[in-house]
Amino acid sequence: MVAKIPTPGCFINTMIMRDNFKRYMAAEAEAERRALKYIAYNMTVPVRARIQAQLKLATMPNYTRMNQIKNRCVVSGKGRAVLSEFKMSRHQFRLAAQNGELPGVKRATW
Amino acid sequence: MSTLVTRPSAQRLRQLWKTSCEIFQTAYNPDSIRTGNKVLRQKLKGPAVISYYPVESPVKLRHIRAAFPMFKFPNTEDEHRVMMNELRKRRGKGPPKKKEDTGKRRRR
Repeated sequence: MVAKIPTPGCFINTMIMRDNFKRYMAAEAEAERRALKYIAYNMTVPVRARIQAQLKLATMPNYTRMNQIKNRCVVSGKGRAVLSEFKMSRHQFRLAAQNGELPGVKRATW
Repeated sequence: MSTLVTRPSAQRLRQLWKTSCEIFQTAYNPDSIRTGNKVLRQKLKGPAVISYYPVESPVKLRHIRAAFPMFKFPNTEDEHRVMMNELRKRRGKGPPKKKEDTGKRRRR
């Protein structure tokens, strides 16, 4: 990684900075990880290569893994109860919706 | 008529399968060997993952203030913060005074 990772333009806190870093690192390593996984899963490839690929995958840093990435609330930085459609946690979503800041969102009645 | 009664041999059927795959340009894997192609088939989601957090705006309040010095652009959040601090100080809840370093150390 030579290029500087851009700072997010939303609410900033430590967790969001860490998550942002992981996103960039995982995106960078994605192709390599995919290739290694392919080698590891391919039964037509010699066993030694498959084992080596598995080992390489296991020893890759944790910030290159896609499952370490967490969708955080863009307004409060909360990691739980985040609606991916709005990128906000439930409370922030509620505040914004009742303020009318979310287009097309209204109280559900039927 | 006899070709309809007897089933073609397995080898013959394989040849047919192979030719069919060549014609329709599909992968030929008669023994269902795991080639790991399903890993390669998955779409890469790097760009989507990166674009989750919005990009920081290159234009900041100080740039706008410098570009239009005749107008007043209030920083509402900062003014609110300063106001709250002043209220706290008035109540006597400001930051504590820093202790002077007299050089005296605790006896071990």
